[in-house]
Amino acid sequence: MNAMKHSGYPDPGAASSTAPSRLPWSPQDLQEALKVFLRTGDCQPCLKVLGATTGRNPLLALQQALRSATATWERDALEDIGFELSRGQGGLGTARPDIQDLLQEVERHYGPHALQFLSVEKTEAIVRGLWRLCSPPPSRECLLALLGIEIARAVGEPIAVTPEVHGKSVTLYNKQCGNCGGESDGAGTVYCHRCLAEAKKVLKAGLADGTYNVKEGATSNMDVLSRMFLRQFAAMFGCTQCSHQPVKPCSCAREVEIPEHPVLGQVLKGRQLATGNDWFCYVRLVEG
Amino acid sequence: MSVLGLAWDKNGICLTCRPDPALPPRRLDELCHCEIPRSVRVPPDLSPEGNLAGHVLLGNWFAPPPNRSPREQALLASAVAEYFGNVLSALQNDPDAQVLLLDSIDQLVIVTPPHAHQQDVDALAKMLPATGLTITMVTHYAAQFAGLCKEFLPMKPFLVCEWDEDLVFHPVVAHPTLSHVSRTGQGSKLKHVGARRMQELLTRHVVARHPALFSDEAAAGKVSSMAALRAAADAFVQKALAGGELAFAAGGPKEPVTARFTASVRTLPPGRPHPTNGTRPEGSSSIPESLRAEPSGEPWAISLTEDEVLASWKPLLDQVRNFSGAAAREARAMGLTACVCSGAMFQAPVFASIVHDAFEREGVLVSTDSPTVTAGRGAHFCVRARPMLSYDCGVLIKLRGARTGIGTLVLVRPAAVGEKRQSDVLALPIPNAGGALLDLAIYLRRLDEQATSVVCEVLKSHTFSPALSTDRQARLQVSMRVDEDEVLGATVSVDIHDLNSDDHIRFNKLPLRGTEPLSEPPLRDPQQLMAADWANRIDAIRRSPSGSRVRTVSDWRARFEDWGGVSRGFYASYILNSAVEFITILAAACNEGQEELLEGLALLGAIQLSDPNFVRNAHPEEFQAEARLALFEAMRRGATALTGLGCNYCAAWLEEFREASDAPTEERCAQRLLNAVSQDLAGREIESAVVEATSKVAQMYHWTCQHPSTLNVAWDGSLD
Repeated sequence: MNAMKHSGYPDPGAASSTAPSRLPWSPQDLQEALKVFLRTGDCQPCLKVLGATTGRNPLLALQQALRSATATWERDALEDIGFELSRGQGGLGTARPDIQDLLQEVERHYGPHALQFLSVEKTEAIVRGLWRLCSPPPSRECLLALLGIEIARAVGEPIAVTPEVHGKSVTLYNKQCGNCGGESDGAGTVYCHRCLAEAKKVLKAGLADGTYNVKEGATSNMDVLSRMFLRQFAAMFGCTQCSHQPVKPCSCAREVEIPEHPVLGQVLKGRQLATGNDWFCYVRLVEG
Repeated sequence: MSVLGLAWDKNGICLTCRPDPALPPRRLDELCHCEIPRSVRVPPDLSPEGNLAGHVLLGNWFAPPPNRSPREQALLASAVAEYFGNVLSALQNDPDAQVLLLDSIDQLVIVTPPHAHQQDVDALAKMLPATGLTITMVTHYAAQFAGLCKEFLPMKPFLVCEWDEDLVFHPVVAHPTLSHVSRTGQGSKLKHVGARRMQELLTRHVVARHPALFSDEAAAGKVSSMAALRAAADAFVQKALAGGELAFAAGGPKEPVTARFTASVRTLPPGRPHPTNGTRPEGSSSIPESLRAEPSGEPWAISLTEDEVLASWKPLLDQVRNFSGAAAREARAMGLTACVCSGAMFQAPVFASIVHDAFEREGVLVSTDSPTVTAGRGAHFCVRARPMLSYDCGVLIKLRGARTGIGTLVLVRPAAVGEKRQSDVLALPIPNAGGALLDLAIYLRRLDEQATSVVCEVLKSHTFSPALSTDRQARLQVSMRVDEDEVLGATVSVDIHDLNSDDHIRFNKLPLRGTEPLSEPPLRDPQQLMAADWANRIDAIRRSPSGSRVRTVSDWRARFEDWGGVSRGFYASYILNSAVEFITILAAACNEGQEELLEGLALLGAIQLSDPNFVRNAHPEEFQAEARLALFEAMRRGATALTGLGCNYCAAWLEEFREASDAPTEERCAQRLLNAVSQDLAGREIESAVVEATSKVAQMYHWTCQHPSTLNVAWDGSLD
C-alpha cells in the first residue's frame, strides 16, 4: 500500500505529467484584444478570444488567462475585465468615447485655447477612471462639464463677464498688487522713482511760481499730484534707470477681448500690458 | 489544493474539487460544465453492449465476491485503467476544470465503497500510478466522516449506519491508512426494513383495499394480476428510492392506467375500451411487456396518492424511527457524536430524513446530504494538499482617507512554494492637499463560490509615511513570495521597497486569510486617481432628488460648482479649528512647552480670522493670507513643543522657518512639517493623534495657498 499515503505531497516529477495543456487561444490575439479593452473599454473582443461568448463561464476563462499572463499590464487588464463583469457591466454599457473626438468637442465648447490647458493623457486618465468608478458611466454633457472645470482650474484666473462688456475690450488690474496698488489707486501703472521725485520737484516749483495750477476740489496730496503730473508729462522725464520710460503699465495689468457671445468656462486669450505676453483667463458669467 | 475527489453510487460518478481553501469542497459539475466521459469501451466478455458506464465499471470492480476468471479480471483492470485515463485527460483538457483544479491535478482521492475488499483496493491503487498522480484510497465511511466534520480526519470512533435490506448501526474507527475502517464496540440491527419490505407492504395495502380484484389468487387470471401488481410495486419502490415520485399507479393486462392521484380504484366494464390520451404514467411504464401483453384476466387500473403510499409504509417507517432513536441515544451514551450513513435507502430523501431527524433530536451530527456527495467532498479533508498559493495576491496603495488608490496583482495562482514576483514601480503622486501618509493593503483575490463575481479581501493593511521624490511622488516596489508554514501551509511574504529612501518594510509568512472586503478595486494608473473625486461627485448628484433632471452641460457644471460650497464663516472656522485642534492635541501630548502652546491658542483668538467683520468683508486674498498666518503660527508653536520632546526633524523644520517674517505662500512648509512629525514620532504612543492633526493642518494650509477663485468658498457672502 505504498501509494496510499495518509498525507504528504506528490513529488515534483509527478506533477509535471499532468501539466496544463496548450492554451485554447493565441496569446497574440489575447494581447490585441486586451489593447482594444484598454483603449475603448470594450471587453467583448477579449471574451471572444477566450471563448467566453460561446457559453463558457467568462470569469473562469479570465482566471485561466490571468494565470498564463506574464506581463503586469495584461494581468491588470484581465482583472479589470473581471471586475466589470462582476459588476454586471461586461462591455454591455457605454463604450468609452474616443479621446480625440472628445477633445474636439471640448475645443468647440470652450474655445480654441482650451486645449492648451487639457492634455490628452489627463483626459484619457479621467475618462478611464470614470468608466471604472461610475456605474453607469457619465454622459457626454457631464464629461464636457467636468473637463470644463478641469480647464478652469488649470487656467486659474476667472474673469467675471457681465452683459455690458460683451464684445468689448476689458483691462484688469490686481487690487492686491504690491507694485501699483491695483486699479482703485494707481490704475495699474508703475512709476520710475527717480523720475517721480524729479516730477515732484518740478511740480512743486511750478505750483509755487504759478506755472501750474490745481483745479478746485482736486486732491492736495503731493504724491498723488506728482504721479498725475508725471503721467501727463512723461515725455519731459526719463532716466537711464527706467530706460526713459518713467510711466509703464504694471505687470498686473492685463487686457482681454470679451466675445459677443461668451460661454461659461470659455478660455480667453488676452495680453499682459507690461510685457505683451499672452495671458489666459476663463469666463465666469455674471448677471448684469 | 489540486486534489480531485472521486466517489460513485449507482447513479453515476461524483467528482469534487476545492478551488477555495476557505470553503468546503464542491462538486465539479456544480462549478463548470466540463465533459467527463461517462462510459468506456469494453470487450464483449464484460458487456454485450460493448461499453460500460464508469460507475457500473467501478461497481463491478468492487462487486463482492470477486468470483471472476483471471481473464475477466485482467479485462476489467484494463477497462478501469482506461476509464481513469480518459477522465483525467478530459479534465486536463477542459479549460474551466483546469482553472478550478489550479491547472493540474496533483492528487486523486478515490472513495472506495463500504463493502470493498482490501485486495480490490490494493489492486486498483497499484493499477493507477501510471497516471503520475498521488493516489489515495479512502474508505467511504472515513471520507464521509471527514466531510461531516469538515476537518482533517481525526482518529476517533464514530457511528456507521447502513440501510439496505436491514438497518444496521455499528461504531467504527478509521484505520490510519484510510483505506479501511475497523469495527469497535457493539452494533445493533433491525432486520427486513428495506426495499423488499416496502414492496410487500405496498402490495398488501393495495390488495387489502381492493379485495375483489385480488381475493382469490388461485382463480384463473388472478395470478397474473397479482404478479403484475408485484412487478409494478417493485419497480415503483426502486424509483421511489432513486428519489422519484411517491404517487403509485399500476394497470392490469391490456388496459393502461387512466387516472392518477385518485384514491379510488376503478374496475372498467369488460369489453369497453379504455380512453387513451397518449400519456402514460410512470408506474405503468415499468410493467414488463410480457405481463402487459398477456391477455388473461380482466383489465384493471389502480392509483394511489403519495399520502396513501406513505400510509402503507407506516409500520416500516415507525420501526425505523424508533430503532434509530434508540441507536442515537445509545451512541450518545457511548460518547459517539457523529453518524455517517450509506445504503440504498438513503437515496430517497423521505427515508433518509427519518434517520437524520432521530439523530438530530439526540444531538448526534449526521449528514443530510447524499452519502456519496458527502463522501466525495469529505475525501479532500482526508489528505493534505501540496502547499501553493490558494488566492491571487495584489497590493493597493492609497492616500490615507482616500477611497481609491492604485495597485496591481503581484502573485497569481497556482504559484508554488518559493515562487517570487515583483510589481512594477508603483508611483503615487502625493497631491499637495493630502498628507504623505499612505495606506497599503495586501489583498487576496478570488472568485466567489459560484464563480459569478470577483471577491477581494484585505490580507494585511499597513500605514506609513513614504519618502517623497523631488516631484512629490511616493515610489514603491512590492515583492511577494510564496512560503510554507508547517501549520498554515502556504503563506505569503511581502517586501515593500521604498525606492526613494531605499527602506524596506517586510511582512513574513502572512497566512492567506482575508479579513474585510476591499472597499474599492484598485485603479491601475496614478493619473486615474483624478477621476475618483469626480466619480464621487457624479454619484452624489445622481443620487440627489433632482439628479435625473441634470442633463445639459450647464446643468452639470452648475451642480459641480455648487458642490460643497461653503460660507466664508465656515471656511474661517474650519481653518481655526484645525489649528486649535493641532495645538490642543500637542498640549495634551507634551509635558513640556505647554505654556507656549497655550500662548499660541491665545494668539489664535487674537488674529483677524476670528474677527467676524474681517471674515465677512476682507478681500479673498487678504483672507487667505490671514488664514495662512494662523496655520503657520500654530505649526511653528507645535514644532517648538515637539523639539522640546527631542524631535530632531521638527527642530530642523523650525530652524528653517524660525526667521520667516510672514507665512510662506508655498505649502511645502506644511508638508515638510508633516514629514518631520511622521518621522520623529514613528512608533511613539502619540504618533497617531499628532500625525492626524498635523495632516489636517497641512491640508488646510494647502487650501490657504490656493487662488481664492479655485476654492468652493462663497466669497460673495451669499452663504454667510
